[in-house]
Amino acid sequence: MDNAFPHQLFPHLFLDGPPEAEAQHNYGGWGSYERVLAVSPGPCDDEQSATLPGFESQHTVSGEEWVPVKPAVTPLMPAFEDGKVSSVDLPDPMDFPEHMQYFYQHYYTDAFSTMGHLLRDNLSYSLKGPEDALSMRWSRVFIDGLNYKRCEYSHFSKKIRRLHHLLRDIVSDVPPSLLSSLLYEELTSRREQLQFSPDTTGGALGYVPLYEGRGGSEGCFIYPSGEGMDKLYFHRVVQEFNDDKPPSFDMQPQPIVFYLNGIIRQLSLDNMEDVGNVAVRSDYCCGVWRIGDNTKPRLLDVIQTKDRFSCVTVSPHLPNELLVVNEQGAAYLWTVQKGLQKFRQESSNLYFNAKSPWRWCEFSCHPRVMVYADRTGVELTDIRSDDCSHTLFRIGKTPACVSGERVILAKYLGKSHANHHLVNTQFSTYIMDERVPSVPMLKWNHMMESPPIFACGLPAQTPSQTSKLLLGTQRSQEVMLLQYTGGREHACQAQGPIQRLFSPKESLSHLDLQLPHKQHLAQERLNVPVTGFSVVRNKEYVSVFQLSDAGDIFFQTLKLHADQTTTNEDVPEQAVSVEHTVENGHLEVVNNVDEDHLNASDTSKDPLSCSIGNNTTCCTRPPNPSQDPDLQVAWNEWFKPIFKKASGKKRHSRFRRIRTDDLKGLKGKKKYKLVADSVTKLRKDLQAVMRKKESLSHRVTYLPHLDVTPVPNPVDPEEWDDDVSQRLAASWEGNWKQWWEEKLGLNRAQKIAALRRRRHKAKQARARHRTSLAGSFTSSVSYQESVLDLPSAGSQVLDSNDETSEKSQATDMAEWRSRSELHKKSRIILRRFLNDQSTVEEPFRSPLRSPPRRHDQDLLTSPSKSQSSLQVERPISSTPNVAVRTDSGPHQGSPTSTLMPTSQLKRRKEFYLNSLPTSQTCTQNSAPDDGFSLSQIRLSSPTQSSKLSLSSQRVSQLRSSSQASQTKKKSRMGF
Amino acid sequence: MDDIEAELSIAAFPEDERTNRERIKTPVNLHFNTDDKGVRTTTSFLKSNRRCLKRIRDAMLLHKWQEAAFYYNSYIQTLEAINGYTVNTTASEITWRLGTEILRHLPNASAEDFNAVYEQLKNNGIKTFSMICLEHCFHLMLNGEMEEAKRQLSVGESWKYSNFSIAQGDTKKIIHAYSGFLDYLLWCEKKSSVAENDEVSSNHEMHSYFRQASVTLKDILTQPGVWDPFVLSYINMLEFYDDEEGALQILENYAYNKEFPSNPNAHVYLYQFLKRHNAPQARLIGSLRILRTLVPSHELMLELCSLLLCTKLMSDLEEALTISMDLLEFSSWKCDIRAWSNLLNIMKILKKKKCLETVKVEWDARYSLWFSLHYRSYIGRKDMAENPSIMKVKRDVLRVMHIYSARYIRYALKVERKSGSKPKEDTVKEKKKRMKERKKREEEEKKREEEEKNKKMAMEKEKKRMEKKKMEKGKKKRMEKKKMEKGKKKRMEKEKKRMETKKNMLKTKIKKTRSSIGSGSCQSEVILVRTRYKLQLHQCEESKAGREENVAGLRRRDRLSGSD
Repeated sequence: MDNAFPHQLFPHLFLDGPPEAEAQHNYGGWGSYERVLAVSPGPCDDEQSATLPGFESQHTVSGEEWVPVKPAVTPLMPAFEDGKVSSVDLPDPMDFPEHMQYFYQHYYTDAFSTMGHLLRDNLSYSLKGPEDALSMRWSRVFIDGLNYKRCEYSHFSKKIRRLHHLLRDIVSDVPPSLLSSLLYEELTSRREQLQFSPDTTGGALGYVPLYEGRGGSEGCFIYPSGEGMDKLYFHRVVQEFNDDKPPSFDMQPQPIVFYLNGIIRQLSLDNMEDVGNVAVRSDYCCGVWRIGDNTKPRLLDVIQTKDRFSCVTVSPHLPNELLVVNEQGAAYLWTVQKGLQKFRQESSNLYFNAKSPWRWCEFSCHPRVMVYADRTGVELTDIRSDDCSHTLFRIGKTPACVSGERVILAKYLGKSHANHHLVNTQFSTYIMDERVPSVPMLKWNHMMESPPIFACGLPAQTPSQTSKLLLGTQRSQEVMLLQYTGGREHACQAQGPIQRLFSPKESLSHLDLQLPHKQHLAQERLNVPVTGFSVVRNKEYVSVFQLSDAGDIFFQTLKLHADQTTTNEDVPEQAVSVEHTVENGHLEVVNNVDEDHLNASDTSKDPLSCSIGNNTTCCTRPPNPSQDPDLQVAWNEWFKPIFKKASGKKRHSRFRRIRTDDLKGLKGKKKYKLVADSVTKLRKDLQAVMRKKESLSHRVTYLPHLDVTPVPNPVDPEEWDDDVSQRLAASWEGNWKQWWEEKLGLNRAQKIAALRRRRHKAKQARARHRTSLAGSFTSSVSYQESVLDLPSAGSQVLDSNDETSEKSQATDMAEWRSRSELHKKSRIILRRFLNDQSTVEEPFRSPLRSPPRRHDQDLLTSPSKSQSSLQVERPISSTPNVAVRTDSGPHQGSPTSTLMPTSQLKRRKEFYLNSLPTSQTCTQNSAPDDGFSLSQIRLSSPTQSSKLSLSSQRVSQLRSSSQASQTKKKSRMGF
Repeated sequence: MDDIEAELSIAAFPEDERTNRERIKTPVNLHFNTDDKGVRTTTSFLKSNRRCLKRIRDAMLLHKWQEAAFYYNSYIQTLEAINGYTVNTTASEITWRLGTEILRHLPNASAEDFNAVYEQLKNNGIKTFSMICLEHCFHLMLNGEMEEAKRQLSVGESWKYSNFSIAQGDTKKIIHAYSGFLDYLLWCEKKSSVAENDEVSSNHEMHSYFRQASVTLKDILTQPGVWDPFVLSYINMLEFYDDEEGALQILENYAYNKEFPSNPNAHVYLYQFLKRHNAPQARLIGSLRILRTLVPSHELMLELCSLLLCTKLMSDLEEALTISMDLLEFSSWKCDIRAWSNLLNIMKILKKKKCLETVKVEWDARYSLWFSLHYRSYIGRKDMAENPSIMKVKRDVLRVMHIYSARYIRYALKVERKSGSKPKEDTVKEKKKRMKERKKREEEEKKREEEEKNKKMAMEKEKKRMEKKKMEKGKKKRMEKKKMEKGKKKRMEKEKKRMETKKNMLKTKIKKTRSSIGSGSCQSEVILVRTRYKLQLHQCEESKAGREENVAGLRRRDRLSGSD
């Protein structure tokens, strides 16, 4: 009996105050027992044995198992052709410029008509307009000017800019600034509306069983349909039962249709007797129909107000009594054909300001006590006295609400339990008992993606069964099945975890594949939000019907699965084991494949392993059916009208199209023909050639010429003076190692030795020529001159200390020139020559000499400067020359300066190097006292005067860069 | 230069290669997203992680536990991957929730698995430590591991971790309460064992459990909330130690403290306690009156009515009337025969006392509602079909109010007429007579009660008597019915016998004719005779079946006419 009250309630903390907890995740519906009660509690009698009492949890582990009969939802009838399919994508408010553009382009008459009328006198499109009117030519030019996309008014800039400034706000009927703000607002509200629209709270699908008392299987679906959802259908349906088969629904032809004056938002019905009331709510009207077993549905009464209605509810206690609430907060008891009786008026929200006009009313256990709800809570109001109301539920700490939680729906579960009410929020579902206000009897975290605004209660048919709750959402199309027991002698207990039922939008994957565009079309229609759902129950089957916004009804049938212990063979073996390693404090997941190995290695770890799913006996659900031919048939029926409509639809734009066919035709046809011709000819040729057993060359055919890329010119390594190219060239020659040695200066010692030898030879040779000291002096003078006269000729720059005669210089140069010519002709030959040279010089050291180097910065690091010095001429002439000049000035007076500017040094070295190839006859001896050792130069460079700072800096820069390049090289060596 | 050379002199194989050779190959995790170089990135990890979570969620919502377990194995990596992030606490809570739920539905999950999940995730997400601790304890309790549960609770109680433990204060309160409750249960256990063998040591242990339990339970009872099991256990202990004062105080606080939510059970417990300890009637009535203001539809209202009737004060009678009428307006009481007969009883008492005016006032206020609620034609039909007994009481209520025109009465009359053919039908007069008799008896009893002076005892007795009367009434009815049935049966049997004798006669005749056929010459005659006899037999059977059909048809017609 519903009068009984549970002997014990589950413990619950009562806290006052607003909720503080933040919503963190949406997985709270699992894994929790909530609270626990002792089953045989209270006074422990003396008879009680020593065994401890059993316990019961508020959320129990398992409930009834309801298994879907088919793998997806089934359409109840073919799709309505005129169903409206709005795009599911949420509009972005920042898209308003695009909308404005569309408006201006395609609705220009609306956008500019006023100004057009005003300007009509001054602007004429006829050729012979009045004289004071601007001619069409002008306007055409003006408009042509606008066509320039790159800048819309710079082309005819002045005139247009002026006009633009003048007319910006007046040309369009609605000022753009205003229009844009309005559009933004509209898009924002549209987005919110699409995300969650409270208008349809309660749902607009109803089912009335007919001839119930006589065991009839007939019923009547009541649903809105049509493009504007403004037609009310009363559609009879016959359930057909077969043994061991789920019931099928046979829709009777010719439903009764009522045309209403607005969108149907909500249906409320409570078929308590042989004649029941069906209330329909649209925005500003409410109507009541009477429906009975043998009578046609008949309209009883209609009310209309200025304020939007937000709820209508039919009384479960008395016929012809209803509740209506409007968004102003006024609640009325509506007795059919007797009028309204206002029993409550709220100007604000109940408990705090939630800024929401949504109100809701329901009946309660007493026919004169009403439930009044808004987003902040639910109250019970006694309509017999003026000011008698008390809280049933409020958003707060007591029901463990989350901040931001709001009441979405309140529903009286009179059929399940006379005192129970359902309260839905976007996070949780509560079952409240009228007798215990504020403290929820049961709470679920329903884990739905969007707020559940439809709900349906299924009472338990026998006391051992569970009562069921079905919650539905709008946008995400979810339907959740919740089970609970209790409320009478025992406290309420949730039974088993929440189960999700199928949604229409995921059904296409279970059907035969359609053509992509059809698939897309169908998917689009299936993605439409749901506007209501209803449940039909017979014995061990429960059918859930969902009405979509496009007017389609889909249903799925669930079957109560009796517990059976079967061997778990149909479940695929999942070789998975969970291994908990307590020491590390984390969970390790390993595949079972090498479990033995793991166990062997982890013997010290105390593995608490459990292998999951290895041939065990358990109660299993039957496997979900995969394919169903009936399902496909039903869906094909549903597809038909949609595809038909789509194929019949012709695209015709209202705008003038520019004909480009002729243009296209010219090019396209010709080309096509050409291609075809060539192909046929090619075929013929091929056949001919085949007959002759010859080969067909491309030349003979009419095929377009092949894009023969010419063989690239032989690479001139000189043009590539970077390190890599140099190295590559060297390695191509086979001198890779040598190059590196040279680059890194590994062979420096040898070189220095060779140089010294050579120089010694030269000295010896010169000594033979030298006659007087004056000669040597003049030579030095001549050097100075040469420096001043020929600053750009780097190769001629000589050291002041160098005792080289003009003659020798000249001969050297001549020889060099001749060599350079040779060198220009073939560098490779030259290099070979050089190599030969070096091998001659140092046959015992290394057969491979370092390849030539050209880099500016390498001058310092690699003294072995070869023939490539000619290339060095240009860089030296440009920048370091400055240094040379400045240096040469002040240092002229002191010819014996040890503080040599590095640039000069360079040149000297270059000279040495240049002289390298020339000195073919050099001996192995070398004078140790001659010239600078490099280490000396190094040491001297930091002690240079301030004037030389530029060059010294340069040296350091150079060095660093060379180092950098070397490090680079090092990394490259890693390949 | 030197350093460069030095650098160059470093091993011919750069480091990368060496490490390359030594590096252990990582397993291929398909659910990881990688960038183009094959490196797993944080965002891609999060992405795949989220996808994995979604898979788990979908599988769990569709109750595919094996599949969920499979994905869950991959999901656990989140705990390692996002260590140190703020996400971690949420992630660990989700992991715990998913893990326990999946384990619950896996067929071969062992207790160790549960322990591992609880223990490890409790410490991983510190913010949910208390909650997981409590849930772990519940799990152990449900599986009958009391000792372990007790240990878990004490761990939860003693756990301290700076602000985290303070933030979980509410959960800690519950943990405290449950540990007290477990102490109480242990006390119960000890008590029963003490009763069996009186040992001093166990007695001592029992008292220590009492002390522990009473401290924690007393503590939780100062907190506003619904604490039914705790209150009951605490009261039980106090009563055992004869601390009635303390118990009463606790109960009154639980019922009347304004900070507590209004819980009907609190008042029920108080009332039961008062009744147990022989509190004066006024006090009982007072406590129930307060309950009535909170829950006018409570079961104890019937008891309140009977208590009020005992006082014999006029005002109390009137109050009882309103109470019973209020009660009947609730949809849960609408079809309750106890409530209806209670009302009828009160009305009759008032009528007898010639205070029908007060009834009239009350009635007029509810007239329209009652007629549409209780005396609608549909309700009449329904009552007639489902429970005629309530129909009579309802009809009598109308008769007391001198209303005879309602359609409901017509249905009631139909029921009467139908049962009127039966030999012993309790007509109105008879009923009145019986009521008078009962009243007389009641009065006598009351006198006796006054003599006895022990009011409570009297109450109980009266109750018992009431019940007995009901029983008797029921018995009588049953007897009547039986008699009726017997009569019917007898008639039927007689008819049957008659039919059988007829049949036998016919059969013998047929046999005779058969035998005559064997000897006789004129076959056609024989056949004729035979057919005639057969026809007669057939008619006889038909008439029998027809009678039965007629009876069924009559019944159906009755039902139909009743529903019309």
